[in-house]
Amino acid sequence: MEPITRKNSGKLVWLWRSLGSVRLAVVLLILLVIDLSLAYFSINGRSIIFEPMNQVGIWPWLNTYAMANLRYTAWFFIFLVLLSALVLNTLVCTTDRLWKLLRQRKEQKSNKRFFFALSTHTMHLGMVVILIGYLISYTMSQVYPSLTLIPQKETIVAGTNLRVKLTSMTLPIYEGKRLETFTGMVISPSVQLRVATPATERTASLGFNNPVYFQGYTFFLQRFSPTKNANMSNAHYIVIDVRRDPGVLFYFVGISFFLGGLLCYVIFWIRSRQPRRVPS
Amino acid sequence: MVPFLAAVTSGQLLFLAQLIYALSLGLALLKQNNALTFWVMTLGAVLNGFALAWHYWHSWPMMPMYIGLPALLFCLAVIWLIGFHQRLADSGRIENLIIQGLIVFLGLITLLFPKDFYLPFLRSATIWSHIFLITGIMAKALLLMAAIKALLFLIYRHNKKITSRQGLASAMPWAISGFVCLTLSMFSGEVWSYLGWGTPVVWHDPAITTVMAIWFYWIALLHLHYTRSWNEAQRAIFMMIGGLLVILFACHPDMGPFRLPFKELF
Repeated sequence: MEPITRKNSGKLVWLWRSLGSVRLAVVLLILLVIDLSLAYFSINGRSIIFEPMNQVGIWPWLNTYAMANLRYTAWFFIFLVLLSALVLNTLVCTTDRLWKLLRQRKEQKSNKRFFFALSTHTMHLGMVVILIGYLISYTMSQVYPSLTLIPQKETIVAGTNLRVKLTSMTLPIYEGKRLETFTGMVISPSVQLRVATPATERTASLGFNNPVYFQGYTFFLQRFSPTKNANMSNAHYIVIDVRRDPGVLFYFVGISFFLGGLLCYVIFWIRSRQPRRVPS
Repeated sequence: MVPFLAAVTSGQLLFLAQLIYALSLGLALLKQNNALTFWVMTLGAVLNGFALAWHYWHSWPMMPMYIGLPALLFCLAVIWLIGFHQRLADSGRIENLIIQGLIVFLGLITLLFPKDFYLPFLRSATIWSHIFLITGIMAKALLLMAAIKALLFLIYRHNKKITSRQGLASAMPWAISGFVCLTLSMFSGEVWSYLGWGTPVVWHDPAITTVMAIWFYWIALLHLHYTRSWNEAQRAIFMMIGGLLVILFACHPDMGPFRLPFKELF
């Protein structure tokens, strides 16, 4: 590797500035728009190729489904490259400008301008954290999909020391008239789940959009039976996914950062648009 | 009124709303009485609102499916009605006509390619799905307004006495509020995706990529605006292309097979 001298330090500064330039950001964003527009037409009617990514993770998916259907998944490879470049660009740009902003903090008389600038950088950092969360989620998640549970029978989640038991199921039948097509069907299932390790246990209610959290694992309801009053099959069971996803915290923290930044930005933007009071 | 509303379907209400929107556009083009144009448009918006309420009534607590286009028409009609009297003062007549033309165009697509026959699904019975839907539709309406403002700027930019209404700066509040709504829609969709499926992105619906595409496009526009790296005319053209992108991605995912509306009406 070449040692850093005055001559090539100029090149490094140029490279750093180019990497963090807004022009590069705009080019990357436009390329992302083109790529995602093509993605829409590639996924449309072929979501079956993409759905397994959520269960097997990104690398196994890229090696199998993506490689086998390159015509429809090529956009995803380009998407990953563009997104990585955008993260790099955002990080360099934000680091550079945030550093300058903090250094000039004492010289600035107006708090408003400082916080306005800070809000945009908070959004940038939020977006980077969200994307890091996605990467962690798709590379490091442990997924135990489609676990079928029948009432009162304990099941061991393979590869873990977790034991799960479906203790009760409440499947109220909808008998109203407003939701005509759902008459005689179950629309709000409620399931009691007991999850345990050798050391501890927990009983909690599980439903759609209401997962159960336990010792870093999350249990999601995927399907249930019976779904109708007069179902052909009378079997009582539920199907759950168990996930251990270390990326979740990152992307929710990222969302909070982004929304916090956006809120500050909107407040300062509205205040800056209001006409100043003229002293009487 | 109540028995009438109980007897009609949302398709019939929407059909009537589209006819009335078209009538309102006709009145505006013929430079007829402004008050009449306004009240005809109001009637169209009311019928459109009832059609949406019908869908929600028959889906709640779940999310009604594919109501994006009729809801977008409603949002645009409300925007038109709120700003109608202000727009009478200057070049606003053209602005009014463009919004009305857009409503009629989108209305035609809604009528001829309906997709509202899908049933709601159980996982959509959460507040996050409703925030995702409503803020997403509001975002598209606001971003379309930004594009219309940009078009007006391009029309009037050579005028020596350009008003603040015709300047490109007048498009920015629409663009920023549209971006805020779109961000809220995306993030509420993400929360819903996690709670419902346990994953950050649900690949069942390809429309997710269209929302991301629109979001990235308007981020690019905001960067161009704040760095002033392009001149106003270039930014206005960029904004207009953004509007076309919104129209394409608002329409295509919500378009069903071609079907004549008369079957539904009678």
